[in-house]
Amino acid sequence: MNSNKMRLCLLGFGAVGQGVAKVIQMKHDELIEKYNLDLEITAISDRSGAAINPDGLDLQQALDTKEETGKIKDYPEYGVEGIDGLEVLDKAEYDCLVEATPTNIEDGEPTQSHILKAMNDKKDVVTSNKGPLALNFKTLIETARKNNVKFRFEASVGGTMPVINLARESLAGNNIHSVQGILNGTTNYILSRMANEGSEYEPTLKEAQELGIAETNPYQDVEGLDAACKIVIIANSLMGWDVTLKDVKRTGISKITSNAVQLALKDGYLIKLVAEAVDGKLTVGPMLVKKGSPFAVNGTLNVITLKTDLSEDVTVVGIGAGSIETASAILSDIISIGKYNSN
Amino acid sequence: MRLKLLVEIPDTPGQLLTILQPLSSLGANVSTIIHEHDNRTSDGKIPVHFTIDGSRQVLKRGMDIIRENAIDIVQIDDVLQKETQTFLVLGDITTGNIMDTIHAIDDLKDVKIASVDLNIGNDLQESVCKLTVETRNHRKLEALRQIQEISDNNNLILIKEI
Repeated sequence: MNSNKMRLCLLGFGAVGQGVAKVIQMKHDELIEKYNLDLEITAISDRSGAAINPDGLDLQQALDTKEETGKIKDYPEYGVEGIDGLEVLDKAEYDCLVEATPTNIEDGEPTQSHILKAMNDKKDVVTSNKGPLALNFKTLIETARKNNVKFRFEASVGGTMPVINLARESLAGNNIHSVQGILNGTTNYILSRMANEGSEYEPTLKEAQELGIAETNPYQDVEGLDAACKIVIIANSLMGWDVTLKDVKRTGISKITSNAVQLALKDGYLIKLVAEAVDGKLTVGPMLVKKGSPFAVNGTLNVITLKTDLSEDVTVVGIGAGSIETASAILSDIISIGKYNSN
Repeated sequence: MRLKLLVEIPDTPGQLLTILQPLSSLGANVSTIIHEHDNRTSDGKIPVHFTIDGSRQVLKRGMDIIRENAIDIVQIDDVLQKETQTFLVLGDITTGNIMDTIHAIDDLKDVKIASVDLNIGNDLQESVCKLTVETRNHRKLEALRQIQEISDNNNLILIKEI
């Protein structure tokens, strides 16, 4: 039996994009065997340009090129210099866009233009990028519907922890009336270390930066913007709300002192940065969590509780970030589209 | 008839007798007693579950006696009589404005402050205050809203319980 070929255009070749190339390379034969799905990447782009081959790129070659020169434009024979994402979408032959460029929460660009163009060109889209989803969710969903293409974004929320697909598939038929979660691994790492080591905020943040857990500019994580984007995406996609980032009441963790952490610990509480969608309101802020409760997760773990009408509370825990982990969420979306299209 | 009670009693010898003796003399039959030693309240009390059999009149009198002995009844037949929440309040707290905040919270209807733990920050560190608040008559959410308002008005960060 011939396998179903699915050609992918991968925009963004940083940690997540490279993770996608690695997992596709790793799982290629298994996916043919299990799902009759033959995944092929025909274009990869980064800031330097792109590599485009309608017959499929050699993924090991792409990963080696990126490692050696830092630029995908140096890919032998098929490398193209200075080409932007929109031009890549014009030149590449593909069925599904995998958008993994860095998140921009100011205006969602250039990701938003990439996604809209692909949809208007009748291509399916998978993304890990929170920016446009948190800013213009409705436009993206309506464009996908209008063009009758699939749009999946599991990796934008909670990394490998299944949230969107869990609610849509496993909990289909349930109404989700509220959601609470720890959706940012960096802040959970910092607060866990402060509780376990009795350390102050600033040195713990520095430690997280040295370990590569926190960004050089940690603003989006520690001030709750990253978690705010994720709770907006969850509220829009799972609860049918029509909200954007500006609707979130947000408090970060930079004012949390070791005194506060220790005082909470005296009564068996931990301080965690919790995102909530409850009673029509979105909030992100530090909250007290009982030690031993499902929310008392350590390190960079994420956790989310969906409160439903039929299944009561459903809680999932998982790794919230990381190259391969996020790529695994992207892969699950690609497989789901591939399976749907082959039916 | 049968009644289920959840009460909080101090962890000192003889406390259980202050409930059992009057119930026994009234002719009520206590069929279950479960202590939750591993789930103490912030003020060190122990939650205890009772199942009591007796006539309506005997049970009503029994409850009155428990209340007269200043024992906190938390639940009657699974209906909450009292809810407890813990908060942290963070910010530039002087003893003056923390007292104002505590008084403002204590003045709220059906709200009682059960405990206060204050850590005045040294030098540049901000202060932090832990409050355990009891609410009655299902006023938990309204109390929470008002406490949030009081904190906002005093430029304090309120960290509530999940």
